[in-house]
Amino acid sequence: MGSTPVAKYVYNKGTSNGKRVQAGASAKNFIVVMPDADLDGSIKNIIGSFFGNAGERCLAGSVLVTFEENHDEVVDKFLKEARGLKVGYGMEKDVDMGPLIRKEHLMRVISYIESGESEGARLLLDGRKIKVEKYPNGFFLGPTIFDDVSIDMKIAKEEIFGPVASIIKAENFEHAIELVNSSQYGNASSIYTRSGYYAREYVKRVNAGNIGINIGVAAPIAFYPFAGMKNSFFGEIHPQGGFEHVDFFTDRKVVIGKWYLLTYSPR
Amino acid sequence: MVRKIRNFIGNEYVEPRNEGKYEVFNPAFGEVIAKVSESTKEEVDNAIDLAQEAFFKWSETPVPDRIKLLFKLQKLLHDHMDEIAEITTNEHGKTFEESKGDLIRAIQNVESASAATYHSMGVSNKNIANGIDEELIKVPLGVFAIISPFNFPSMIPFWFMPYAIALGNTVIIKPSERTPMTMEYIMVLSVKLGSQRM
Repeated sequence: MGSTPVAKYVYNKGTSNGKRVQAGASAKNFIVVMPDADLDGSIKNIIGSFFGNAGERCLAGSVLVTFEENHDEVVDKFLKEARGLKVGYGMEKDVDMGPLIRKEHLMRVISYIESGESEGARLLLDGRKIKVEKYPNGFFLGPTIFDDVSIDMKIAKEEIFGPVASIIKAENFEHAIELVNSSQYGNASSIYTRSGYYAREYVKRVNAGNIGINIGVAAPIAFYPFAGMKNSFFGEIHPQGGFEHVDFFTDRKVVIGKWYLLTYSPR
Repeated sequence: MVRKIRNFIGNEYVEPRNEGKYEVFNPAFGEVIAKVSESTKEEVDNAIDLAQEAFFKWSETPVPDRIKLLFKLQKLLHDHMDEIAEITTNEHGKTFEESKGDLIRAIQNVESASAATYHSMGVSNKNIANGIDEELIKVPLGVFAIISPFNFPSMIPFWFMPYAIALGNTVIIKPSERTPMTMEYIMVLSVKLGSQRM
């Protein structure tokens, strides 16, 4: 498990040596909030998708897709919740979000924020301003939110692996699907809606292996496979449980036999 | 002086030969809390040889006995959840609740893999031709390697390890050099499971 270049390398190296490989890779997960979504009931779940584990997970929401009808309301609520998250040392009780893994990774995520600014996205919430008084040397970055992001910007295309959300306004449902499927990755995607029709269409048409319906982190439980697609996974059989996973860890031997009646007594 | 992460091979600690090359941080404090050395080829070869040796015995262990070990492991991880989660928070940075969630998902995979008694069943046809029976059996493969990332130090090795061992294989885990302490501690605990090598 690692970034796409590493996963690809391990997969190619392993399989060319006759080994079985499952290689999980990078992700860029789109979260679509339909105008008919139960926003108040879902907002904490949406926030958890973007900022849980400080955004350092392959199922984290990264791009938030809204529509003309609900854009302002979604942004207002998203921003309000994100502002309320407490950043700090994870062993302290009221902390919602911990630091990033390394100074170098923090700098890398900050460089994405800078690229978002230079490409013309509108910075609504700047996580760089967060100061954790008690731990001045920690690798902290607060929740960061960009609005007016377009799909060709670096922050909308590349995996950031940090607490940075990019908001894109879609023209309609068709356009939303187009945006989601434009990604080279296909790890996870979620739709928030009260419409069975949109939910069903989303499942059918979105090219991602883990799909959430009103669930922002579409993490399969242990006895289902963890299913990435496109450049998010290299291999045929996916990690975690599921009947096919058994096949990964075993070989099949087919035995064909016939028995004859002994015409002599063996000694 | 910060300590060096130890290797765990053949149910015991083995001091790595090289000096610590990589630093493990507590990212909330920005402090180095341990060092990880890069294993030499000889050390890796030795681990593979021991895993291969263990495979011959382990693959012959009946599947109900193999999953008894998983039941013990499941309880062990539950009983030590807070300690393991605290280690994860201190080496990774995620909150204590998130670290517990990470471990709970690891435990669910141990539980899921304990269905190996069913999963390992084969299929057969009696009298597929006159007097001829045919059957498909599932056999273990050997030594598996797990290279896991930093972001879920306990969950991701457990996407593979419990299934591999339940089905009769042996495993070598290379945790992320950025978050190796969680698995190091789980291995400390696993000594309590008895003398069987995993």
